Amino acid sequence: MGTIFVIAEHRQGELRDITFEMLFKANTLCKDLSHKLTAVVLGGDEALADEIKKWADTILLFEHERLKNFDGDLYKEVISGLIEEYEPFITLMGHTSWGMDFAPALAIKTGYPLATDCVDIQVEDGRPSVIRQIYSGKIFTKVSFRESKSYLITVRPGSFTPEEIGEQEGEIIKKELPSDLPEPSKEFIGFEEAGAGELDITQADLLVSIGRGVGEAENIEVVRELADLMGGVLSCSRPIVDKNWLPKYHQVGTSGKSVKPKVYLAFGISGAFQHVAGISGAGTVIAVNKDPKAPIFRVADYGVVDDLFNVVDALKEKLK
Amino acid sequence: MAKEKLFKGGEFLITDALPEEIFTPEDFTSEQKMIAQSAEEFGQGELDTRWEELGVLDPDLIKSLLKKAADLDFLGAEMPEIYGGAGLDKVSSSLITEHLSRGTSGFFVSYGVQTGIGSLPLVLFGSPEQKKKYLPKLASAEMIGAYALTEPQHGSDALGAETTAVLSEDGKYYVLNGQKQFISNAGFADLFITYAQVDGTQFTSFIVERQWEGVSVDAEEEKMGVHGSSTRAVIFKDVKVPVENVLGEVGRGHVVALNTLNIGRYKLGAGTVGGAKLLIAEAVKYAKGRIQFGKPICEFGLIKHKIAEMVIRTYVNESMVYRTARLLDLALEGIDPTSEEAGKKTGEALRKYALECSINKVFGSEMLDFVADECVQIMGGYGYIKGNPVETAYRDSRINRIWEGTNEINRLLIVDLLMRAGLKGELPLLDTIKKLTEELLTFRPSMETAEGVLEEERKMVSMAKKIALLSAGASVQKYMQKLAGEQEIVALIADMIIEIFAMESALLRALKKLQKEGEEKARIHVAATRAYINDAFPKVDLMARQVFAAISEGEELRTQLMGLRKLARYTPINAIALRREIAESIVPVARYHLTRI
Amino acid sequence: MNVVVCVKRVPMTQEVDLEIDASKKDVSKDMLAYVLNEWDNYAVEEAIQIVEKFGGAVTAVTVGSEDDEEVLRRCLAMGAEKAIRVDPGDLSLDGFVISKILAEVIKGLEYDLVLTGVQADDDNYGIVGSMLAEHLGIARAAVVNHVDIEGDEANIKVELEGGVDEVLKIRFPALLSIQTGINEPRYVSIMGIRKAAKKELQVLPVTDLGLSEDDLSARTVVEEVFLPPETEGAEIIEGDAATVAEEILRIMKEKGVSV
Ligand SMILES: Cc1cc2nc3c(=O)[nH]c(=O)nc-3n(C[C@H](O)[C@H](O)[C@H](O)COP(=O)(O)OP(=O)(O)OC[C@H]3O[C@@H](n4cnc5c(N)ncnc54)[C@H](O)[C@@H]3O)c2cc1C
Ligand SMILES: Cc1cc2nc3c(=O)[nH]c(=O)nc-3n(C[C@H](O)[C@H](O)[C@H](O)COP(=O)(O)OP(=O)(O)OC[C@H]3O[C@@H](n4cnc5c(N)ncnc54)[C@H](O)[C@@H]3O)c2cc1C
Repeated sequence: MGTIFVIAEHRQGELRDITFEMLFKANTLCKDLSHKLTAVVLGGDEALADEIKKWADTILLFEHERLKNFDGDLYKEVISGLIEEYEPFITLMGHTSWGMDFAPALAIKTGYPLATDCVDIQVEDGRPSVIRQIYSGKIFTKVSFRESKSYLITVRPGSFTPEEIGEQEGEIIKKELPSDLPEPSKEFIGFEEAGAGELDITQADLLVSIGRGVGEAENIEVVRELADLMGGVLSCSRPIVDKNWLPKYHQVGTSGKSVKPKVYLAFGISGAFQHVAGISGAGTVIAVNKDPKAPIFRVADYGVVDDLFNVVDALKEKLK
Repeated sequence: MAKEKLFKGGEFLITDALPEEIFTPEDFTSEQKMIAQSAEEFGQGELDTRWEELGVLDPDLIKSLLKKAADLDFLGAEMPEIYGGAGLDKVSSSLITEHLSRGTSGFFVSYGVQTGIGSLPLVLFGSPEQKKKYLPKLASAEMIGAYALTEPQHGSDALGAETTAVLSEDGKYYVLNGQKQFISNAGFADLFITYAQVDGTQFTSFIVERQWEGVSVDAEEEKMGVHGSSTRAVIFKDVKVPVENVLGEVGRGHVVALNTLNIGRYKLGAGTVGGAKLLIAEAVKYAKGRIQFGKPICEFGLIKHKIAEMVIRTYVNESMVYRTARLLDLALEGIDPTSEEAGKKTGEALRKYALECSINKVFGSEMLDFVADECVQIMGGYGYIKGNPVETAYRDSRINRIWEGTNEINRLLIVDLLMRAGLKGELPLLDTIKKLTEELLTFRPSMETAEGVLEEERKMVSMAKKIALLSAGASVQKYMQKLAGEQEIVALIADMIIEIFAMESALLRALKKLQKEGEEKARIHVAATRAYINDAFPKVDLMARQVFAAISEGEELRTQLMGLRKLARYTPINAIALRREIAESIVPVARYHLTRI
Repeated sequence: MNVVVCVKRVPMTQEVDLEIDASKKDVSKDMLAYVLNEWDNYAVEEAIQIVEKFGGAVTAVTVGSEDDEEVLRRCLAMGAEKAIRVDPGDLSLDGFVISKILAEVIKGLEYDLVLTGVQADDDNYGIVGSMLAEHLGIARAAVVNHVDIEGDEANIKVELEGGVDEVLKIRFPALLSIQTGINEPRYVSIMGIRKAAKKELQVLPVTDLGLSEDDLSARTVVEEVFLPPETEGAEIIEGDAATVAEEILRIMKEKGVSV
């Protein structure tokens, strides 16, 4: 019987959602393949490990001062050691900023093949393959691995919705860090709130959100007027912030805010996963986009294929 | 670089060029492509994002954007390096113009004047001192230029200007009095290239600074389109212009005026190519999203037809603009830009291609009007509503048929230039026509269609030339020197010539692509060429008939028409299928896709 | 301060209906226009700003065909000093092979800093930077949105999920994968293009690098590409803008948002 590894991601004492998403998927895989699920928690404490217990057969917990904050080099060292020791069939990691840091390095260190940013995982004839999205979600692809003892996969956040599973009582095994650890190559200084500002888009019931489709900075006012008329709050996708057209605190998405309005109106947003991840808590999503093939239409509840300004103008007209 | 051939101006009418002898957009060098991309990026980043702002006149914004363009060397692109320019070739500078032409009139009109009529006279005819004084400032946008030729009573007839210039007693300056009309950039220009009559008869060009006493401007005109641009009358009241600021020679202002316009005209064609490409993208995106009767309208045959036709004409326009630009570059090869004679030599070399330049102007302006019109049509009612860029484009486009010499004037000019070249012996026109007439007596058209891709079209273009030459020859024979008075006939001949240049430019480009990259890669080029020629050829035939019917009758007419019939034989092809193929190829990518930069 | 930037040329696919090609392993790219990957553009700008401030030179590297030289020339025109293209011939490339090739080239260069984009806009792997750092055995950080250099180290910010940045100090040599928005990439000037023509663009066949067959064999293989399943998705509201607006307002009301 083999095992599947899930590398837990946590920050400032809290497990990130991606951890549970991976645990959920790993659980299904383990059931199908009669594998054991081993969760790996680097840093954190027993309380954190407890939260995972019901999802995993075993939890390998490393408590150490040097693991208080994420350290990609340590992750790489420790996990490669564990992979040697346990020979997991698959190791799942998050396709997050931290995952992007250590997973590829781990692949080189261990020599095992890695596929990143996967939205689904299948196992056929003892070989895993993954589904990925390319060209910003316009195309899907199935990717397989060169034959190997062990496979590495990073999972796109939001790809799996954890559902309740049968209670399990995973065993927590405390592990010690190896003694010959490398010197840290980076020094942690602190966390910084990136998008602090006077406006809190996470509290709004109605978000009127704009993406690159708005075209020019001046047009933002046109949409802002609509937001004002509707009593909603203006939010946006990342490129609008990258261009300095709106301050960071308007940004929705993985590197912006996760929002939970009753209604989310998306104007000229293509629907990249980093954006869409921020609106999974939205009640109803209505998307307006010129391109009928825009990926946003796959996640929206309602769609309008039209120039956003036609719709904005018509809405204003109705509201006046 | 490549081994294109230096043809003479108008020579295309009597010689069948080979594909490798002309330049096509597939021949852009990597440097030229980078320059195009750079302009495209600037356009996307600085102009597209300000479409609305640039639709209302805002001099500060225009000036700041011109400054940014200057920092990327776009303004001095064609000026010699010693005067702060980049000394670029015409192909490159046309690419810049094409990619900066994006329906933002506020920027584009100003940019066009600054780099064209507002500085070209200095480049071509300025003294070293004048160039040193003004060109670097124009290249860096420190000064904004304008070109003040038109007067209230003298538009097309500009050489009849009423503005006067009187030499002061001490011989140090001229005193200018008069008014110029519809001057672009006038609201914020620092420098005017203008014209006045010295001693009532000597038409002369002057460089006038805005800050001088007596120079003033009238109110902004309220225009049909190009709302972002400044158009005002300029008034000269006892303006003292130092004699050093006479541009060129006293009494030779017409040389400055006409050359500047003649040469600048092909550039208008580069601008129309850029404008059309953006409109095509807009139209296709709209047609993909607009659902009627349960399907996107881009799936309807009539919409496909429109999309294809927009693409075809843009392709033809593009083919001729860059063919012309390269021709000009070849003509300029070997001129040392640092020599004192450079401007003059440049002017002389370029003048020989005024015919091609006029063709580009007429074809480009009418092409863009067509494309804008069809774009509005594809968008239906939404295309007619203010705030839709297409509605703006439709109105903006209209000016192109009026300025830089109306299309009527340019048509007359095309034939006039050709006749002159014939008379001066620069082109063996008379001999060619004579030979043709003799040949025709015994000519037996082949009843078979030619084998091979585009071979039939190659034949048709060759025949079209014969048809045009015969009609022109017959007209000259009939009216001799008085032909210019028969404007309708002249315009028919001009239109035949335009169509021939259009057909041949498309044909040679497609052939070149075919030879280099094979049938699959050249598929759409070939389809566009075939569709175009198969429509244009019968038009040439019809125009020739109209000419003959107007100049001859009875037995003579019958003989002429019989000769014509031999030349005009052709087998229609399924152009409907070709257009569908073109439309279906562009719909998925939603942008003009025949040229890669 | 010598900086190496790794760049890639990618097709523009916004508002394009992509079609699957005959091999079913990629989309057909014949009619597509190409650009420098958006993330790389920021990385190049960052590199140039760094050498403008601290001296040194920028070298741009790509693994690709002759057509891909276009983006290298762009880097040169922006201000890079030198460019290298490794021609992979008909190798099948994945993140592993690309990083291996890049590493082999970069090993021979003098550098303090290597920059890549966070990810490429086409296949979205986000894999090359970190792999490359590991091949080179240097420090690394992914998704960097701020770099502040002091001597042979830098204060950087790593962009985390949820609008939080992690502030770190990193010592050189190091590899950073650069996030969009970190700077304002410049346009390319004509003089820049002119100068670029005179700069060195070196082309290396991959066979010259002395990599083993194993080094050059892909770890992952694209089995097939396909269009997203049609079934799921939004209910499309049809009609003219006024009808659409009315329907949107109705839905909003139904969902408890009164306007
Ligand atoms: C590590 C990382 C973190 C990221 N974090 C975030 C994040 O937090 N938030 C975020 O948003 N992105 C984030 N991104 C970026 C993300 O990948 C996408 O690049 C981004 O979301 C695209 O924004 P967009 O949809 O506005 O622009 P585009 O993808 O350019 O889409 C614009 C859309 O507008 C449509 N359109 C154009 N004109 C019109 C019109 N007139 N009317 C109607 N529709 C029109 C087009 O059809 C297109 O679909 C992140 C990326 C990375 C790598
Ligand atoms: C927005 C705008 C910007 C402009 N910018 C400038 C500028 O920067 N500098 C500048 O100098 N001028 C400028 N002009 C003027 C422009 O060049 C003239 O309007 C143009 O040359 C036509 O002159 P006109 O208006 O006097 O018309 P007219 O010459 O009166 O022509 C009227 C009509 O008669 C026709 N016609 C005239 N003569 C003949 C003939 N011999 N045979 C047959 N038909 C004939 C014309 O084709 C036209 O259809 C601008 C005009 C506008 C509207």
